[in-house]
Amino acid sequence: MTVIDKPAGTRTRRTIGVAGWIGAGVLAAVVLVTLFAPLLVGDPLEQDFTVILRAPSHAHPFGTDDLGRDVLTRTVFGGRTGLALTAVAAAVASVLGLSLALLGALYGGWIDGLTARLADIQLAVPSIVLAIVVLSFIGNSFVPIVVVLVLGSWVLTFRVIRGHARAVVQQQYIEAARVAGAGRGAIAWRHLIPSVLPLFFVAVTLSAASALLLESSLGFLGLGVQPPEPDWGQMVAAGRDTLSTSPWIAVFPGLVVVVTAVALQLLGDGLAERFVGGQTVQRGIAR
Amino acid sequence: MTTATEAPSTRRQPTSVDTVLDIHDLRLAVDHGAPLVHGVDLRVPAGRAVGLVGESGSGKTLTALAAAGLLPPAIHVTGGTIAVAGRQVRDLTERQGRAHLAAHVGVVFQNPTPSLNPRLRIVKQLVEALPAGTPRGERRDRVAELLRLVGIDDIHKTLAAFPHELSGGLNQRVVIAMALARSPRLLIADEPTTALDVSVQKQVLDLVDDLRARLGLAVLLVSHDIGIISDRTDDVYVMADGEIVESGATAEVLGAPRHEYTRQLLAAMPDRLAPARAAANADDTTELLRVHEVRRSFKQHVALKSVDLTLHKGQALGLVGESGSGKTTLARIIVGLEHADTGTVTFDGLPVHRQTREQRRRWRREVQYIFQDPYSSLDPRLTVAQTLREPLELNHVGIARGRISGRIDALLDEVELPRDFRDRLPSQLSGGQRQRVGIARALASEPSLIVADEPVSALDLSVQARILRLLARLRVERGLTYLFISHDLGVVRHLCDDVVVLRAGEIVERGRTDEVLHNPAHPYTRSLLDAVPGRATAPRSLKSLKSLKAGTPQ
Repeated sequence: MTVIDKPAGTRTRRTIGVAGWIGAGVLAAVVLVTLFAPLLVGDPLEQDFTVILRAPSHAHPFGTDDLGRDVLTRTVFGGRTGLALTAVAAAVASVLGLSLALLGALYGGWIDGLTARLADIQLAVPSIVLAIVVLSFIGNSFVPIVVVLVLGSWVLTFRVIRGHARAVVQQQYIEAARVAGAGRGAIAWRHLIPSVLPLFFVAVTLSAASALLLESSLGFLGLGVQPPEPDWGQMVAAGRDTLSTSPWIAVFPGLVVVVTAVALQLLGDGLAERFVGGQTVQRGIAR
Repeated sequence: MTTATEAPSTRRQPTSVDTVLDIHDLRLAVDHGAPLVHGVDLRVPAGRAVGLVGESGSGKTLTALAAAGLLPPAIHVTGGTIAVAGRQVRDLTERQGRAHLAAHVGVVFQNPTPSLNPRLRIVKQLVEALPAGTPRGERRDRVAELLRLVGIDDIHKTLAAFPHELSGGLNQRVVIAMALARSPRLLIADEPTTALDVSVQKQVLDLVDDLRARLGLAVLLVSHDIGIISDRTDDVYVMADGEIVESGATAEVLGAPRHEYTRQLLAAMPDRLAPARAAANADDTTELLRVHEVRRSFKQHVALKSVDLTLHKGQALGLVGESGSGKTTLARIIVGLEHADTGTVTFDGLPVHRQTREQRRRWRREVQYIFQDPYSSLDPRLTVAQTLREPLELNHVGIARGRISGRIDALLDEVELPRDFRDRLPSQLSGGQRQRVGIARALASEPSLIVADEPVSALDLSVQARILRLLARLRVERGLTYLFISHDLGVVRHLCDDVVVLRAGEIVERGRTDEVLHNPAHPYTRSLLDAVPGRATAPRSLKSLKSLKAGTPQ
């Protein structure tokens, strides 16, 4: 038995890069601090009228607000509901986007057309306007807010996955699978999902970033988490009036939102670099 | 360059006036790595066609790229000299060298598509290729003249077209026109027709021949196809593993090869393989597959107009035709990847579209497909074992889970792949190995009919021969029935008892392979036969090749 054919290429491994690791680290820090908030700081609702609108000091590193509450404590607690909303919404939005994209790619025809038009409509309606309408009518408890966030961020995943899945479905190995007896379910499970999975994780992080920003906007507009419970967007809105005299009330929670969103983006870019741009096969150059 | 000294004709004086390309002791290597080409000597005189032949990886393309100054950035000239049109490229500055090569060398690559910008009309791309400083008013005339030179009749339509609106053959002509735009003295053609149909192939090679004679071009023809080399070149250099192993006048080298490697290349030509068919049980006349009045059209284009076909158990039927003749559509209808507009496909007595679920499953198992492209037909993320597992699990073959692994080993044995290939990914396999995996996948569900769509056309010639031998062996061992689709009549002759010729969706001729190929009744079949390289113009060397076959180790 002789096999003289030579192997075609070698693989190179990629990493998520320095920026990706920084993003992951910052994100992990934010999440851990938020999770263990009760162990780290005091009560975010505790008022102390002897220290109203104090600038950052040793006792109050982020200063105090107009009710004498510690801004650091409120910032640490401010992510609890917001991050939970963001995480749930990003997960649901990504799975929804993935499912619709796969359905469209597998069935084609009118199903593909319908899902694509839905995405177009979603893109044409500003999420914030949709949020105002929905939340004004239904009220702003956890589930309606998640629904609004999902509506505002599923299109990203859908578009990214759809483009890739439609290309994969054209590949001959999908036809080979059909000849091997695979139905649509088996094709999705064996070929399509493994192929879009790296892309999916990238889409999840990017959806989370967009959901976080939308959630903060809702808080800022007073449609999100309600006072006195702290929330970053809501705290920024509360500090707006005193921005010139006591900027620390708005600036610190605002900064945390920016840092978290940027960390998510960096992680998403890193993952994209690692998995999607990665897996490069160095082809033999000689013919 | 072990045997270059044995070929005195190539080692005359140093650079003389009529030698357009003179490569001496050329060495190429990767950045900090293995040498790829070690000490190549090669000369191309004006007005002559010189062939450079070898398998993939032999370094022939790199040598040609080096001559054109187009080496990839990671590869460097580490020794030796290249002289083009009487000047040593080494003695020129980088800039001068580029200008010199641009003025004197035209290059044509294998596949015309990447050489053309899909978003620009042909006229723009040709104008771009003209020498700098061509007066604005003359450009259009010059471009039209170039198209006339490469034998394009409808000049205005072609100039206004985008590449995708033209056929592969026309695009390749445009690329040749671009290569000729600066009136080069040397034309380097790297597998210029490998991506084209046989009949188009012939036209393009005729054109190159004609240009060589008319313009006194020196032509360096790089190819893995011995047939083309023997038809089209005066001298030949045989290359293996970065060295020239044999060189000399084409007729002499191919007529009486001295080097073992040249003999192997010659033996690998499908046309020269002993027919492997007779062995199968050809007398069994039980009908296995019947295609009855099948029609199919895509929008305006009619792909198949009423095709009838029958296959008996154990028969190997060749389906021959150019691209666009509908042969792939027919194959896809037979395996159920495409549906017919009207007409029926009957498998083992049952019309496929009127079967019960159970019958359909059986048909799905028993009719399998081997794909043309071994690259896109394997999922790049799945290992060999995972790919082979798929039909075993899904196709209701009825194997206990615990025995699947053993079956995978048996399948690998059957297609002559080592068992430890189980965990390899497609990217770690060569084209031939991938195609073996594709064949193993088709065999997994114990089919009775295999439809193979150009299963070797994407492979190197010597690999082709091994895969064809494998298919012939499997046919005998498993009693398989084949529907074998190819544009290569040599391949069909090797494997098939009967042949059907398809043209523009209609069957124009059918019969026993030997009769059809020796005595074609339809002019279209005759034109297909004439287009086969290594057949028309070199009968003498062909005969000597055939006599050689007997003594060649297979």
